[in-house]
Amino acid sequence: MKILVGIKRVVDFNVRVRVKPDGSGVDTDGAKMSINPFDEIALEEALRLREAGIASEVIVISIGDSSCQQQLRTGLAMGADRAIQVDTDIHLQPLAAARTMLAVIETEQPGLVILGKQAIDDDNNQTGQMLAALWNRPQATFASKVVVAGDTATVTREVDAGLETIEVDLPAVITTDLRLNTPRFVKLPDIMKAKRKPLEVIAFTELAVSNDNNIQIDHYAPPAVREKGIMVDSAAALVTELKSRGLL
Amino acid sequence: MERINKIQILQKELPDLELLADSRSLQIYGQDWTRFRQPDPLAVVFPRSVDQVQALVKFARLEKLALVPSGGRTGLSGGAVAASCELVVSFEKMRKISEFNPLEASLKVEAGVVTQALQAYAAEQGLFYPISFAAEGSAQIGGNIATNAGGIRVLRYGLTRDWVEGLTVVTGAGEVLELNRGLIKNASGYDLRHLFIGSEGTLGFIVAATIRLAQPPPPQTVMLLALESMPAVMSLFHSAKVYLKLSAFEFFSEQALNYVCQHRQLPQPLENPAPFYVLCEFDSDEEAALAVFEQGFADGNLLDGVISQSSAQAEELWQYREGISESITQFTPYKNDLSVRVSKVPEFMQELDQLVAESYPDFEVIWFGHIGDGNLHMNVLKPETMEVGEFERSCLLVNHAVYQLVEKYAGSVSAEHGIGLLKRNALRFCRSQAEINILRQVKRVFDPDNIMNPGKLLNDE
Amino acid sequence: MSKILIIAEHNGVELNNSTAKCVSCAIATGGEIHIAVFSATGNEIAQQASELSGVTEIINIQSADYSHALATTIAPEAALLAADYSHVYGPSSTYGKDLMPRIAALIGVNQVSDIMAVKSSRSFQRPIYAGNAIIDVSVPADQTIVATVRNASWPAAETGGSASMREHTATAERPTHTRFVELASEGGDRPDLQSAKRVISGGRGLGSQENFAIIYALADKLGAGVGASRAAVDAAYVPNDMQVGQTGKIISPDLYIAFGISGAIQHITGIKDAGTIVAINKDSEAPIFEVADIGLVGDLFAIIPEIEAAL
Repeated sequence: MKILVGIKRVVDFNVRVRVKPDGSGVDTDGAKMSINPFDEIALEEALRLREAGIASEVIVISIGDSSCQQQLRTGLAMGADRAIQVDTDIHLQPLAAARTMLAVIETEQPGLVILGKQAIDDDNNQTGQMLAALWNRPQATFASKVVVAGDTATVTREVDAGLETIEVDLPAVITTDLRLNTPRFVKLPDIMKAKRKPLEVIAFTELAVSNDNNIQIDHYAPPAVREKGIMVDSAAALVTELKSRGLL
Repeated sequence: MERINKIQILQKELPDLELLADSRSLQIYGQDWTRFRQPDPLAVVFPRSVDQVQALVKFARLEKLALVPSGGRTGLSGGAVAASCELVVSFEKMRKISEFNPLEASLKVEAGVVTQALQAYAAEQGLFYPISFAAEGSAQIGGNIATNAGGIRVLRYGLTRDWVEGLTVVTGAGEVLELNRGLIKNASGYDLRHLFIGSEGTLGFIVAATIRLAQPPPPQTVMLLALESMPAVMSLFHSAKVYLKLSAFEFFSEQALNYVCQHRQLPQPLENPAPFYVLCEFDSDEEAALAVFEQGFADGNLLDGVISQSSAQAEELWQYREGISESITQFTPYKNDLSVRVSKVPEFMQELDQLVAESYPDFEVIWFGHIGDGNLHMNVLKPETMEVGEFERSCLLVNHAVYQLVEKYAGSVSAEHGIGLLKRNALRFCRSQAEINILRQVKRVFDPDNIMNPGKLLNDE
Repeated sequence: MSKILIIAEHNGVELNNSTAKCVSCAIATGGEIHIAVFSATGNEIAQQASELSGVTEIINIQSADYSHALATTIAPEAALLAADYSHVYGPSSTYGKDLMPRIAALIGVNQVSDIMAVKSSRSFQRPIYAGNAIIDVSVPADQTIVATVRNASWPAAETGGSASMREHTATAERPTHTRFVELASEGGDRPDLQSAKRVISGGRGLGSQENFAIIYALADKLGAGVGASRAAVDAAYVPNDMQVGQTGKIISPDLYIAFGISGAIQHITGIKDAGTIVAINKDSEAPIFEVADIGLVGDLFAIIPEIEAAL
C-alpha cells in the first residue's frame, strides 16, 4: 500500500521567535527552517512500515511555495520514494489544508496517511482530524505506537489518562506524538540519490479546493511577563497556599 | 584546634564575609572534577564585592593563609582542589551581569557568572558568546579566564583570551587593578590582562571582566563522519577547510563512541562501526557538504556519514562528542590533554599510538579531541580492580614517555586544561628552564607571599 | 445572542473538571450555555453537569456506541446538534483536541485552538510558537465558532446550578471503523518528566545520589514526575535524562517545585512555561526566587518531611 506523509516547513524549533514591534506578525527573517519535528516522526514511521514490507511506497507532500522543496528533498533523502509540492503562496489554514490533502488522496489512493499531530508554528493540532472527517475515515491521533496488520492498524495513543489503544480499519489518518520514534539521520550518500527521485509540482489552483471559512488573526503579542511571586514562611503555609490555588 | 582558631580569627577580622566550614561544604567546595586528591580545605568563604576580596587578600598575607579561588569547579587538572588546609574563595555570590553596551557589543560580568548564563544573556540581546564546552552549564567565567578555556569552537572564534576586553583583578599583593578597561586599542606597555588570563589563580583573583560578544552565526549544520585512520581524519580536515565555513572539527575513536552510546543510551549513529569519527559543524551549505563528502569518499578516506536536518538533530549529533568525558568518568580516567602543531598531528599520533600500545597493553585508552586545533585528549581508563593510587602511579610512569614524545614534537602537555596540581611535574616538557624561571619571578611580583593557589602550576621550590 | 454548546468530557463515572473550565470560558463569552453529554449510561454525569453554575440545559445523549469516547463516533451527532448553536466548545485535553477539529470539519469551519482569553463573543486569544507569541483572532459572523478551551487558563466554574435536562436520541450514523481496545492508566510508574502535570526537582542542595530518595518519595506521594538541575546531573546525583533546563528537558507542568536549586538561567529556561513555580532553598538570595511564584527559604531536608505531614 502507499503511505502519504504530510510535511510542513516551519521555523526550526530552536529559533527564538520574536513578535514584530507593530504586532503584525512574527519575525522569521533569516531564521533556520526545518521540517516540523512531528512530521519528521511521521515520515520515519512510514519508512519503517515500508522497511517492514507493509507499505510499498512512501510519498511526502507539502503545501507551500517553492521553498518547501528543500524540506521535500530532505524527506526524499530520508528515504521517501517521491515527493509532491502543492504550490501556493497562500498560508492555508487547517480546513483548506485538509481539503487539499483530500484532493491528492483521491488521486493517490493511499492506505494510510500519517501527519504530525501539530505544527510548531501555529500549534493548531487540527489538520489530521479534519482530513479524517472529510475523508470519512478513522483518525488515530497522538500515536505513540503503530502496528499494521492486513487491513487494520492498532494504534496506541498518548492521552491524559495514560495510553489508549484503538483499532482502525484502513485507510485511515494517523497523527504522531513525540514518543512514536526517533527520526533517522540523513545519510550523505542518500542526499545525492534524492536528487534523482521524482518531485511533482501541482498548482493549488488546479485542485478546485475552496479556501473559505478562515479565522482572522488581528494582532500578535509577546507572552505576558510572570507576576512577582510571594514568599511563605513554613512548609505548612506552602501546602495551604498550593491547596488554595487548586494545585494540590 | 588550630583550624578552629584560624577560622575564628578570620571571622573576627572579616565579620561580613560569609563562611562555611561544615564537612559537606568542605567536600563540595574543596574539589574539582578530578578525583586524585582528597579535598581538605580550612573553610569556604563567599565574597560579594571587590572590596571584600581585597580585604581578604590583605588578611591572608598577614596570616600567611593560602587561598584557592573557586568557580564552577569543573577543572580537570586539580587547579581548584584544596587539599592542604587552604581557604577556598568561592565566587558564586558575585554573579552579576551588567553594563551591556549594544554599540560595543560588550558587557561586564562578575567572576561567578556561569558560562551558560553568559551565553543565554548574549542570546537574549541578539548576540553570541562563542566559547563553548561540555562543562559550560556549571563552569564560571572567572575560572574560564583563569584557564583560558577553549572548547569546541576555537577553530573559528579563538579562546577566552580573545574575548576579554578588560579585567578587574585583586593581586596576591592585595592591589586592585583594572586592566585594559574595555579598550580595543591600547598600546601603552605590557598587557597585564594577558598574564592573568590562563594564570590558574596563581597571580591573584579575577573578580570581574569586560567581555566582547560576537554576532550570532548563520544557521549551522553538523555532520558525523566515519573514517579509516588518523591520516584520513587530517586529510578530511584539509578539504573541509576548503569547502566549508567551519565552526568546529572534532574527532573521537570507536571505543569513545561505544561508551557514549552505552552511557546515554543512544543508538549507534551510523550503520557500521569505524575506527575513527569526525564531528564537524559549519555554516549550512548542503552543496559544499556534499562536495566534502564526495571528495572524501573518492579518496577512500570517508566510509560513511550523516548530516543534521534541524537544530534538534545537530544537538543530537553533538551528544556523541560531548558525552564522552561524562561517560568515562566512572573509570577514573587518567587524562591527557596534548597539543602539537596541526600539521604534525598524523605523525605524532602514530608514534603516540605505538608507544601507548606497547606501554599500556592492559589499559584501555580512549582518544578524542579538538583535532582541528591539534588538540588530543588521550584518556587511560582505570581497570575496575585496580586501586586509584596504584593506577595513578602506573600512568605517571608511562606518561613520562608520553611527555618526552610531546617534547620531541615541541608540543604542549596541556592544551587547554591547565597545569593545576596534576601536571606540575610535566611543565618542563613544554617550557624551558629559562621560561620556568621567568614564570616564578612573575609570580613573585604579583604574589610576594605565595598565598595565591600555592602549589598549583609551579612546584614549590 | 450567542448560544454555546459544550461537549462534556467524562470517564464514564465522573465529569472531568475540564468541562467546568469550558463553562467558565463560555460565561466569559456570554450567551446561553448548554452541555451535551455523550455516554452509554450517563444519567449520573448529566446530573453532575447540571450542577455547574451558569448552565441552562444539559442534553443527555445515550447510546452503547458512546461507551468509549471516540472522536469518530461522537463527532457526527455533535456536528448535527451544532446547527442550533453559534459556538461549540470542548476542552483542550487530549479528548477535546481529538474530537473538536473533527466536528469543525464536519460543520465546515476552522477551529480556534486553546482559548486563553475571551476578548468578545467572537474574538479570542490563543498561544502560538509554544506560547512565545500570543495572537488575537476573530471569527467572521457567518461561521459557527468551534474552539478548544485551554485548561491552564481557566478556573473551574462553581457548582450550585440547576440546569434542565433533555434526552436526545442520536440520529447521525456512527461509524464502526474505529474501535476501542484498552486504556492503560498511568497508575503504576512515575509520570514521565516531559508530560507530567506536576514535577518535583532536586538540585545540588540534595548533596548526594542517596539523598535524592526523599525527592522520589515526595514525588510518589504527589503523583509527580521527577527532574533535576544541571548541577545535580553534573555531580552525578541523577542520570542526565532527568535534567530540566535549556540543554535538558524543557517542561511546562502546572506545578513545578524546585528543592535546593539555585536557579541558573539555563534551568529557568527549562521551566519558564510552568504554571506555578515553587522554590525551596536555604539561600534567600538564590536566583530562583526571582522567578518563583511561591518561595520558601529553609533547609529542604527539614521542609520535605513537613510538607509530607501537611499533605
